[in-house]
Amino acid sequence: MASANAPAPASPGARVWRRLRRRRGAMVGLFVILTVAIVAALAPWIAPYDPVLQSWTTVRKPPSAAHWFGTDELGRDIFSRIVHGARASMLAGVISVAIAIAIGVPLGLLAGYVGRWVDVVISRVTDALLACPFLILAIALAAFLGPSLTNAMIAIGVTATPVMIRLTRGQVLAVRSLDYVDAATSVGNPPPRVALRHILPNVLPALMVQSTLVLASAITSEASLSFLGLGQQPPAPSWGSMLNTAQRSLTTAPWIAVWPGAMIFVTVLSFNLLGDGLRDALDPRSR
Amino acid sequence: MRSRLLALLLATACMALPAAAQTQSEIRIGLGDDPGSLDPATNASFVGRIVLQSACDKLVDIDVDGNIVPMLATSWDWAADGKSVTMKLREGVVYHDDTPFDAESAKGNLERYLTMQGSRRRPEIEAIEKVEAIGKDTIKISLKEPSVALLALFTDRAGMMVSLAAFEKAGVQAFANRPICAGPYRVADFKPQQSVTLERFPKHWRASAYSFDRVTFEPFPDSNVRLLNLRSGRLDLIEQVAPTSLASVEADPNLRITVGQQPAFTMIQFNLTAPRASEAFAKHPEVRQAFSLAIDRTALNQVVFSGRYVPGHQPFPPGNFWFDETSPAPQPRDVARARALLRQVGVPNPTLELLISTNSEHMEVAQVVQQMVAEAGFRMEIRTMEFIAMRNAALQGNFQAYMVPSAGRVDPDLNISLFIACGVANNVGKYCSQELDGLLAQGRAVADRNARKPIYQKAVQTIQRDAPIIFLFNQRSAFGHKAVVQGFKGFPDGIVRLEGVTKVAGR
Repeated sequence: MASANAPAPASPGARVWRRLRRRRGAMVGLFVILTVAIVAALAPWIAPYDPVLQSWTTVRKPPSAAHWFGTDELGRDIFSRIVHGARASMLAGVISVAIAIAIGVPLGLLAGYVGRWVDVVISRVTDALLACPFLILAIALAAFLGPSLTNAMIAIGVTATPVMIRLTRGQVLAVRSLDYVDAATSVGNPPPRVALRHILPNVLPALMVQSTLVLASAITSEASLSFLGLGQQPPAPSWGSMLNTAQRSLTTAPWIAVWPGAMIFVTVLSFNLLGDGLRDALDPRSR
Repeated sequence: MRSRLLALLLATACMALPAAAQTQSEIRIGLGDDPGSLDPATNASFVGRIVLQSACDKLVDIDVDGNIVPMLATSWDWAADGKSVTMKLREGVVYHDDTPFDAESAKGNLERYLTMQGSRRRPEIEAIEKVEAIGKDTIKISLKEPSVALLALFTDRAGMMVSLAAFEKAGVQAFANRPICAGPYRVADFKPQQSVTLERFPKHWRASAYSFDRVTFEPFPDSNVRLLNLRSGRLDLIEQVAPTSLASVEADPNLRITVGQQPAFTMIQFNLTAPRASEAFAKHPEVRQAFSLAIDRTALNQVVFSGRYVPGHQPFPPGNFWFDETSPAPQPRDVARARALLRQVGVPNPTLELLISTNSEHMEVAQVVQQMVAEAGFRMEIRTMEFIAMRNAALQGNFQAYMVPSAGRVDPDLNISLFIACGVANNVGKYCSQELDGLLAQGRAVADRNARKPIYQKAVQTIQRDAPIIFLFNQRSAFGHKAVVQGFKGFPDGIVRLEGVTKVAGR
């Protein structure tokens, strides 16, 4: 009878949310990310000016009531460009991570669950890709595919894939030897069902944490590629390409560089804070 | 005993330091890039020319107005047919390894440029048929076809003389790091990507005209960093001050700006060959003319370069001897006429993809042009690529139009023929006009510059009519230096010459 009066046990999601809420850094990160995401989604309604329309009479003007963040080297409103640039950054982050998950998780699951030569082949290829620095590989791929935001996202996604493969494989190896997996197998579940229904859900928490961290580095990579001219093509705004053109006016009009720089910093920091918070919240040992 | 020895050492050091500072004068120069190979035969960079100017004397040089003046050659005579030139060489000149410079050596040098594997000078001077040494101090250079532009090439690396004995001894690699020439300074130390140090060569034939004992070049690719190092006092002189920084340098009482008047330009070259070309642009010169007419060059110069460049539309800036005064500068913008031309050929909205390098200046120019030509009906897209990749794409014909700068050459022929004559490597758009080639050949055969001028005016008019390329602006190299650096002049080739340059007050 006593058990009937006890509160119903919270779902795992609610438990994680409760723990996450206690971590102030993670909440600040989440707030910033949500804000940037909303701004990116509603960019055309939020931006007061057309982000690509040049005004040659208001070149390099410091922040004012008319232009909150000032104007850039071609007289375009920096605030509007930052708002539209958020789209490129968020899109690059989300799509790259989606690509990395879509390729990395099935391969990692396969390597960890099937083992044997499949594991050897997948793991060695992963090792080879991991040996190449993240950004160098992304630059090489983006240069090979040709300069555009889509290709930059593909390059970043493919580059982030090896980490996902390795993480999934490691988690699968840890989980597959647990009793409940043995039980699921012994009652006659076919291997694909065991892998997808019984192993994959227990690998997800680690993948979620990793995804937020990869998102952060994907945003930095998009900015780096756009800075190098391999991402978003002018005149469309991107925080990275805005930093590139700001170089010329660093001493005379520093605000052109400050805003995109600050936005990259704040967004990446927020994803890292959220990732850290999620890691703690998802850790069953932490209370 | 030990402490006494230490005190003695310290005292000696203290006495020696100021003495060294007094006798050693040095100028530190900030470059935009690493010079690369210092062998004039294999050097391929503009900044390399700046370093080599102080280390390797040339057969001839230019003066501040762009006239060709004697250097290692004291005089020269063109044959009436323009197919050979006889040069009298300076006597008593020695290389940095004390071997003498004479006719045999000059002949050997030119032959080295023509035959050495990996020589970048060969395509420049391949018009040379043979070189003969006449006595000890005269050479005769015979050409396959008339080319008075040869002398202008001798004001650059093709005219730099090196000690062939030293080259044989050192080998290609070592010589590229430490060339032995006959300039006022010898290369004392070269640390690639870090610095080049030159030391005074006391046996130079004009050693007294150079006041510094030591010249140090350091590469700083970022123009802001270069400028900050000038402001902080680490550097005495820098090249390529960004146009947007010029106002702040001029406002600084400790700094000065000197502007070079070189015939440099930035152009858009259109691909005229299928399959990659934009059909409308390849087929109709009117479309290319309309594109040029839609550009407001004055506004472009004002917006992107704070009005510091020249809004010209010729390979020579206004004021240059070869500039065609019959054509207004800058070309007035005429959107209505541009639209009319497009209607005339039935292509009201031509599309074009413009390939540019990731250089932030070029990205700005391309975006301004994009907005300007859109008003006339053009739909232009921009594709950015790293500079070398862009050049390769252009050389392979994988582009519709591309924007590329040229540092400019003092001879008008080199400023035109190198990128637009039929079949030359840099003519990536594959324009070929017998009329223009005929004019260029005619110009190369005439030594008198007043007689040459009308020929190049016609050549420029032909280019403007056919518009296989359009010129956007004439850039000007600006040097920044400390106010204490005096006597520094801007030359038409944008190269730093230290003759007569001093630092006052021993600073």
